[in-house]
Amino acid sequence: MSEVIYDQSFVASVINGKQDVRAWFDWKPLDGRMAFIDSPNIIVPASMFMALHKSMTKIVGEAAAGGVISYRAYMDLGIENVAYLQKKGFNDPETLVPLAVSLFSQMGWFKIDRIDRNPQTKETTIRLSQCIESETFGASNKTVCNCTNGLLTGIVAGAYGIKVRGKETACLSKGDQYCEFVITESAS
Amino acid sequence: MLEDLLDEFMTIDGVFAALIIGKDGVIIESAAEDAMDVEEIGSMVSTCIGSSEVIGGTLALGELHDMTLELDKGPVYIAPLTPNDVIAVVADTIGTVGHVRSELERNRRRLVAAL
Repeated sequence: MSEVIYDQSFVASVINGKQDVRAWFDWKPLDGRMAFIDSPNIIVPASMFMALHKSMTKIVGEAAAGGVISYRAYMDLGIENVAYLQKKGFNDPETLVPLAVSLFSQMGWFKIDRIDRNPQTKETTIRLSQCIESETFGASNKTVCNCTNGLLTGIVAGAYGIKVRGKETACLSKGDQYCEFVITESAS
Repeated sequence: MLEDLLDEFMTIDGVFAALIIGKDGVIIESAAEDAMDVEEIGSMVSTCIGSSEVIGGTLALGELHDMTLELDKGPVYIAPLTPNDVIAVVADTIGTVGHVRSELERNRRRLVAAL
């Protein structure tokens, strides 16, 4: 498995959505072990999103639970994930972002519709045609994908080494046709 | 406009940062003397306000008016401005809080209008 990740044509196929990444999984259920690209992983139910959100909302209120804790915790996850891929030799952000996003997509998080990067404004727009966080929450009158927003924002922050702020500008839970995240360089 | 109003807080002796923060942690406007990660501070303030409001609700003690964190080297004064926004003022002398509070009452309407 360690060799296959360095196969550039395989990586390109993953990014293009033409190749799945089962070859990068090493699952030994009877040993209580699962690794993905040599890194320990676990399977958690999608209902975790709602359970965590409800629990945090009880303690810190809805705005802080979603906009702050979920967003920032998953941003750190995105940054760490990118750092791990960088250790594996992926240093070009133009590859890192779509690769990291593709990996989370293939782990069941969402389906990618498009990823756009504007080099002039340094703005990244990621559009998803399916998102497990939105599905779990169900219908809402506002955007709900705080974890996904944080995750994607962290991936961009880690890949480009800049401070960014992500905003969910459309959400399937609101009745939009997709979930869309606009990630811009932060002023601070 | 908001920037000007925050600058007025910065003229108070001991104040070295003043921030307007959304309850979701997003920094709306900030003024700070030193290099400070205002986004980090915004997140922490938002969590502080959130848990304090939950305490008020859980204990049926009503709405939160303001809160002061009295720390060894100075206070952090936090107050809701609207249902969605708060102001946080950081100083290096505890005696500053009264002045900050009166400045806020003097400028509250203008701050809310500028949001």
